[in-house]
Amino acid sequence: VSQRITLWAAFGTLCLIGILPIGLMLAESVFFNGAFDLIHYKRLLIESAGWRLMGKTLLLASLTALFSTAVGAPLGVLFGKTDLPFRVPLAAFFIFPLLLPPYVTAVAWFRVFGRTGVLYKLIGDSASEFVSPLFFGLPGCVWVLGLAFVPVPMLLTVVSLKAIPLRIEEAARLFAPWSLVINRISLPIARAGILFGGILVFVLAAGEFTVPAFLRYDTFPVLSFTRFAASYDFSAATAAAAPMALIVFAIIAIEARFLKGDQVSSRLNDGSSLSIPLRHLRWPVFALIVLFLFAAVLSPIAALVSDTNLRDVTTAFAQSSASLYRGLFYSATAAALLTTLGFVLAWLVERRTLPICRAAEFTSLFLFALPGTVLAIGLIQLWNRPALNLIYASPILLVFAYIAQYAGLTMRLVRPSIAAIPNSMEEAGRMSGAGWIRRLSRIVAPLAIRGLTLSFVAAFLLCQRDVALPLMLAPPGLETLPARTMTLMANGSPSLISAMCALIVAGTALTSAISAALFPAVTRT
Amino acid sequence: VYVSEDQVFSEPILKDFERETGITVHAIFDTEEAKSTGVMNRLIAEKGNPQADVYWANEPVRAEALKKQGITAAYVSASASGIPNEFRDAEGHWTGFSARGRVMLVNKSARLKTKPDSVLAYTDPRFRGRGVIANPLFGTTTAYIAALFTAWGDKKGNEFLDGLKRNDVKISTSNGETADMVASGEFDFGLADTDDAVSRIRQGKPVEMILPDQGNSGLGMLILPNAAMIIRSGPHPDNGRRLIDYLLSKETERKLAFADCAQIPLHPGVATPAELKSIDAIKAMNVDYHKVANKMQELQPVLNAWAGQ
Repeated sequence: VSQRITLWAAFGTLCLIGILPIGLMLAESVFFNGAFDLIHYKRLLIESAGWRLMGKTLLLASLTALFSTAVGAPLGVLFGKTDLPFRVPLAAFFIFPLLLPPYVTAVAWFRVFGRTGVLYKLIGDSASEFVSPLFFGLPGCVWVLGLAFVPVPMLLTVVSLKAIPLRIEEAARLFAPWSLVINRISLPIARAGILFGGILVFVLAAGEFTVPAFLRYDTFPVLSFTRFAASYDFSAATAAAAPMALIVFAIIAIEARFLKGDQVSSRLNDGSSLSIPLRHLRWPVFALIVLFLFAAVLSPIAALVSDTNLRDVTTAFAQSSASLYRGLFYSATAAALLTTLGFVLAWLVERRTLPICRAAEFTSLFLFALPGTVLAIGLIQLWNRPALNLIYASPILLVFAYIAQYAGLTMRLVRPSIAAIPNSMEEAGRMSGAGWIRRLSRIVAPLAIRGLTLSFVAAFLLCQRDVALPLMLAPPGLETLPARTMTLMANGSPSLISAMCALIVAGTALTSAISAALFPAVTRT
Repeated sequence: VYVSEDQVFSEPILKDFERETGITVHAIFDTEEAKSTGVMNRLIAEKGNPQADVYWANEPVRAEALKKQGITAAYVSASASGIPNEFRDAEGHWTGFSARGRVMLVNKSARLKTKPDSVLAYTDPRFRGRGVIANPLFGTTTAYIAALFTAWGDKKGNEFLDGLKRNDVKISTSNGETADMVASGEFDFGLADTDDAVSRIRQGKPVEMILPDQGNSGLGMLILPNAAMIIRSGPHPDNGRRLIDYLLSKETERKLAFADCAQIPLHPGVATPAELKSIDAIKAMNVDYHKVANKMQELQPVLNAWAGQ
């Protein structure tokens, strides 16, 4: 009974804080002057702008996914399958941009490609006059978002390659060289994981609004945000957001139907796999990767940091430390709840004990892929009532939003660890008289500690970098640092904005370093 | 407090208020992209469940819209005495203070034969592709377009909007971005607020500020004061009124005049920096904010359609 109650409660929580607001928002948008009317949707279908923006959004998302995957998958092969020197620290550096709010990355690249940026200082007018117009548009958006999302296909490629059973590659190596084994055996087996990485980048890029807004490339999320902010009509804003929700829904459905990414996780072995010796290419490849790392990751951050000075950083810290600490507190609270919910959902999806397991998986992934602005509008519509002020007028609503947005991710991160635990261990516990909750807390959780820790760290960092949710949901005076930076961009001095972005970069680097240092100790325990 | 005035300028004033009165202020600020509309829509959404006591708007036109929706309450502050009547709501729902003007910001290194000294430069073929303007769906640009429609009539107003497209005028996300684009040389000129212009000049950017349409036949420069208003049924009405008194004081106007936003005081006799012209020395556009507010509401679908084309 406790098992059923807990699993239903976890699924119910997800529905209450994620699906109900979206459902209510959609329901209200089909009424006009108190009667059922699809006028907002009809207008959207008639407006040529809607179709044009949808086309632009899909183009941006497709090109970003292709770019990220084209860069991320080979990097994943190098980091996950070869004996490249220093591959773990190198991979960590490549992951870093994913942990920053995308607009910080955009501001950093602006310091490189803008008319008076680093490129102008190095080469002069001719180069910057050519590059700057390209940067402010589709190419710039693809560049900034593509590089920011490279870690997604990269990590999924690493995980997928590591999951290939040792014996398959060993057998192939008896008859074929590595180039053939990789092309004919390893990559085809890892294909589902790599494609899932591309799909994730597609939905993340399609839902992103800060970078297209900064680089003046109109997309559907920008339209839905501006409709929400500029129009007095919430139903019209909802209708403007609906096509994005539909696309996300369709993509997740396709992924669930055809790619079956879960097969990758369930095959996870103990981590041992064959490694490709690069031999005489080891150091030349290392040099190339370092060069690329400098060009794609370190140069914009260096440009951003060099644009400020110690006095501005001190001022920024003095003025914004409360926002920084507040963000840490919200993120830690949300990450703890997300890890717990992700753990229960992962068990539900992996063990398939209730008929809702597919629905739970689909719902959590749908909410993860949904643009934050859409989710926030739904939450405001649902909770903005005098009787619910305890939640609406407090940071609880923001924590709810984080949970709704990221439960799909924590579920996915914990799931492989649960998949690796044999059913027999839980069975043994049951035979000894342990109840379900006791088995979950005493057997499954300790054995899944690696996935749980990873899930906590990932959730914490993603909540920390989020902009759309705190911007729209944080109560007065209780904003987070990325949201504060975004509002201060209005006429704030460029060096102070750079200093605040540098603070975000430093905070993220510090948190990541602490997590990386503690991770082995925690998982050993 | 919900604030549409730039955070970088408004936050120090709110901090001073906290220090001087001991009343803690919790503020929400607009982003540059959603200027004046983000928190305003939040106020509309919260009409039945108000969370704010005061709205510090960066222009009075949207204040009129809030008044019409019954979101504001009347309050005539003693500090408002001396502020000219044209900058105050007759029923006391909002009171203007510390004004900005809509000015042309021009890059000094732009190779232009004549300087764009009128808003009509945007539709002048000589300046084709060289101008940038903030998204008319947001901020003071909406108010400006509505003021032009009110002054010119719908026909000329619509021709102007079409002319912007024909003349390849680029749309930025905000006035701040317009100022940055002009300062960095991406564009030769752009319409921005005086605070955007003065802050770039003080940052040493190669730009100059031109007051538009100052000739005899010119429309004049649009003056947009900040506006302070009490939210009806807000949770702390007394503290809200004390904040309004503070915002409307001569001292606040003096601080905002000497800050980088260089806003023009509306009280007579407030000290100002040398580069700031007094309100009497400027040819101001003759506007009725109430009419402009009505026109702005009426124009919303037109602007939505125009922006989406």
